[in-house]
Amino acid sequence: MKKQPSSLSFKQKSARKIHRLLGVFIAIGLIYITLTGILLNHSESLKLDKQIVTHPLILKWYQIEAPQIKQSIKLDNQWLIQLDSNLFWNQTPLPLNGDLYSAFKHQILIYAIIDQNLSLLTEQGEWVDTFSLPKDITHPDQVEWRVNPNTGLVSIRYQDKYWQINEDLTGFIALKSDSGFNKIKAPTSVEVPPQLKASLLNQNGSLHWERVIVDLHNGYFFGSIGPYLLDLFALLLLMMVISGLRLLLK
Amino acid sequence: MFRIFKIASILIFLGGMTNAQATLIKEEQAFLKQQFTEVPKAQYLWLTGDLKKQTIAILGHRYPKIRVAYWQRPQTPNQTVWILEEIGKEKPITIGISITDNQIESLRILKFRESRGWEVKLPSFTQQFDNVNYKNQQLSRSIDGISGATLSVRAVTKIAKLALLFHHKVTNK
Repeated sequence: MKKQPSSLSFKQKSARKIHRLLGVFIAIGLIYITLTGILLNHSESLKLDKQIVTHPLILKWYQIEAPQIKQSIKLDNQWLIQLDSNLFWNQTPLPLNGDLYSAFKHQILIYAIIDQNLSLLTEQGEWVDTFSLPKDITHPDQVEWRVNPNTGLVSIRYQDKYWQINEDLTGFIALKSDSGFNKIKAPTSVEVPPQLKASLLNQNGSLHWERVIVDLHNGYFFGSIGPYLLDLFALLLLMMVISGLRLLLK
Repeated sequence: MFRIFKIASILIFLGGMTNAQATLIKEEQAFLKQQFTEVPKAQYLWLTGDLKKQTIAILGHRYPKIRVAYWQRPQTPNQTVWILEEIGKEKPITIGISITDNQIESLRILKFRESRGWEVKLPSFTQQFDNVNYKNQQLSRSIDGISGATLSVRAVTKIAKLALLFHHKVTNK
C-alpha cells in the first residue's frame, strides 16, 4: 500500500474534524432556517398574516402592550365594550372612541357617556348621534341616570344639577329639579364572555405571526446582532461545504 | 322604522321650544349662515330601509350615523343644506352642500383633516359641483380629479351624490 504524504493526510484529517464539528451546529441552524422558511412559504394558507400574537412574552419582547378591555357593559344580551380607547358593539367596532363611563338601555335607544359626551345608539348598535355633556359636568363617572315613566324622557343628575335630553336628541335642557323622574341604576361593568374576549383581542392586535416568523428567519428577532449571527451561520455552512468537498478528493 | 317613529312621538309630547346645545363646529355654523339669513332648526333624516341600502351603494359602506341632520326653511322647501362627512384616506372630511331644485348650489369643504389632498378645498375644484344633479346613479357632470388627491376627490364626489339622494328623499316625501 502506497503511503500518503503526511502533509496531504493532515489536510484530510483536518477537513474531517472540521466537517464533523460544524455538522452539529449547522444541523441545528438548518432546522431553524428550514422550519421558518417553510412557514413563510405557506404564510397565506396558514393565515399567519391574519393571526394576531397574544402571547404576553412575545408582545413584551416587541414592547407592545396587549389591548385591554377597560369597560364592558351588558345591555340585554348585547355588549358595549371599551378596548383600550376604542368602542365596540359586541365584536363590531363603533365609530366612537374614548373612555366609557356608563351606559344603559331605555326603550329602543342606548345612552352612553363617553368622555365628555353623550352618545346614542340604536338597540342594534348603530350610532345615532353624539353631543356634549353640560359644561358643569367635570366628572362624567358621577353622572346618574333618570327616566320619566310617563313621558319616557331621559335626564341626568350631576351633584345637585339636572338636565333633560331634548326631544330631538341633540342636547340637554337644564331643569330646576328632577321631579317626575325616577333614578335608574345603570348596569356596571362585568366580565366579557371568554369567546367574545378572545375574538376581540384577536382582531384588534397589532402584531401578526407572519411578522414574528419573518423576524426569526432573518435574525432581527434577536435584535441588531441577529443578522450577523445568521451571516456567521452562512459562513460556517460554507466552511462545511468546502471541508466536505475536500473529503471527496482523494 | 315604526318603532323609531313611536319613540320620536313620545319625545315630542311636551312640545315647545327646545334648547339644543350647539354641537356644530364654527366652520359648519359659518356655512349655514351663508346659506340662510336665519338658520332654521335642524331636521333629521333617518337612514333606514331602502335609503340605507342606497347609501351603502354610493359610499361602499354604511354612513357612520343612522340619522343625518339637514336644514330646510318652510318658505323654501326646495332648498336643503347638508353637512356630511366621509373618510378621505384615513380621516373624515366635513363637507357642506346646499341643494336647490335637485341641483347642487354650492359645495364647500368645511374641515379637512388629512395631511395630503388639501387641494379639494380650492374653489377651482369645488365649483365643479355647481349645478350638478344626480341621474341614473351618476352625477350629471364628470368631475376632474386632482393628482395626489385621488382619495379626497373620491370622498367628496361620493358625498355630493349622497346629498343629492338625501335631498330627493326629503323633498319627495
